[in-house]
Amino acid sequence: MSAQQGEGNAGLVTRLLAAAVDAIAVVIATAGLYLGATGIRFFWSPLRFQWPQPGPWTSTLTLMAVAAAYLTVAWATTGRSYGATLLGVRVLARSRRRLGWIRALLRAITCVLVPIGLLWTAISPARRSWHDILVGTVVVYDRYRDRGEHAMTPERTTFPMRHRSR
Amino acid sequence: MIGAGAAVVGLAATLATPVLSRAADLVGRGVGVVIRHVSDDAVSDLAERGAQVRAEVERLARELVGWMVPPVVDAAVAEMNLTQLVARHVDIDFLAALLDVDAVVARADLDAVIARVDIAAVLDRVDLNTIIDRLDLDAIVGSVDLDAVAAKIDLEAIVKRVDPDAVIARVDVDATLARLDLAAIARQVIDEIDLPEILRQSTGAVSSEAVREIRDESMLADEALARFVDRVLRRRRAASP
Repeated sequence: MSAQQGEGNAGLVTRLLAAAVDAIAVVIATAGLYLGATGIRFFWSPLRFQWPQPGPWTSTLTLMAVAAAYLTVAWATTGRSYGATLLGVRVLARSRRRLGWIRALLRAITCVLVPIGLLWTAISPARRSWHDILVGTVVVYDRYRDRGEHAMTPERTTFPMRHRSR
Repeated sequence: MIGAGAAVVGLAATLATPVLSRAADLVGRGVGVVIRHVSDDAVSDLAERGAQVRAEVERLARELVGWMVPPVVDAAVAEMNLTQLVARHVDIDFLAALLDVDAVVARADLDAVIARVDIAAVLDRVDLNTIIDRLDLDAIVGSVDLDAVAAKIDLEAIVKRVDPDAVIARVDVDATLARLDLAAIARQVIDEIDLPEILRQSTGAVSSEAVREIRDESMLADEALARFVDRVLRRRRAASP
């Protein structure tokens, strides 16, 4: 098996960076969730209010649940989490089609439970992690599809004016 | 008839000539006798009286002429049509050619003439509207070479003479600003400019540069890592196209 098979699939560095960005996003989202829940609690009973102090297990499980939910939605809808968008990669089925909800959920759960499986990407000639092999997915470079889909297009240099009918 | 008249006159002359010459001789002798026997004083008196009479006669003649001539001339002029006479008999073109108009103009005291003219009265009589109606302004403007006129104007000199401070001092800026609906203008400008799109574009352009950089670098790092792993694992790597 030659390394040529992995051509077009994203390598370990890119995927680690994307995962790091996603991890930060998940932490921020969880913190937001925590503050939101705390706020509701305060409004519910302000006199007996105390800052909630969840234990390590609760915190870890919450983080994992948020991450799984976030990744499931991202992969099932666009194939891209925020980190994947930033790094220009996309998670697809091996048939190069978008993942279904079930496959996205399975992949998210495996990623959250066994994140170390990502390192297999460096060894795998096809640049696939354990999660990819388990669920039947690939992570591809998809940066060129960005043009025209997002505002990150430096070609547009004209001064934007509203076009209104007078 | 005329020949008969002439014969009668000739006969009378022939008959009268001896008689007349005799009479003249007698008168001459008489005058000589008188002159010899009259004293010098008497002659002087006579001469003086003669002079007086002559002067009186001259005066009377002058009065007579002064009294007679004007009515006669008036009557004569009334009888004649002088204009027609002049037109018929005088070569006016020739006379005009003889005139030295420049000399006439040079002699004329135009200032005095102008001073005598009542310009206000003249202007009162002029109907400017009628004159303006008759003017073909387009044709006049069309015939003016505006470029040449503009080229002749020394704008620099004119502008140098203008005192901007004085001009600005006369401008009532507050009144001008009060008349402007600045809020409406500002609203219109802001409405015209799609500010969110500008922000999106500018931040998008900057961030897209950074993002492209990160993606390029990470891709290169992926490649480098893959080569390293292949070398460690002694994996054969296909040649790059």
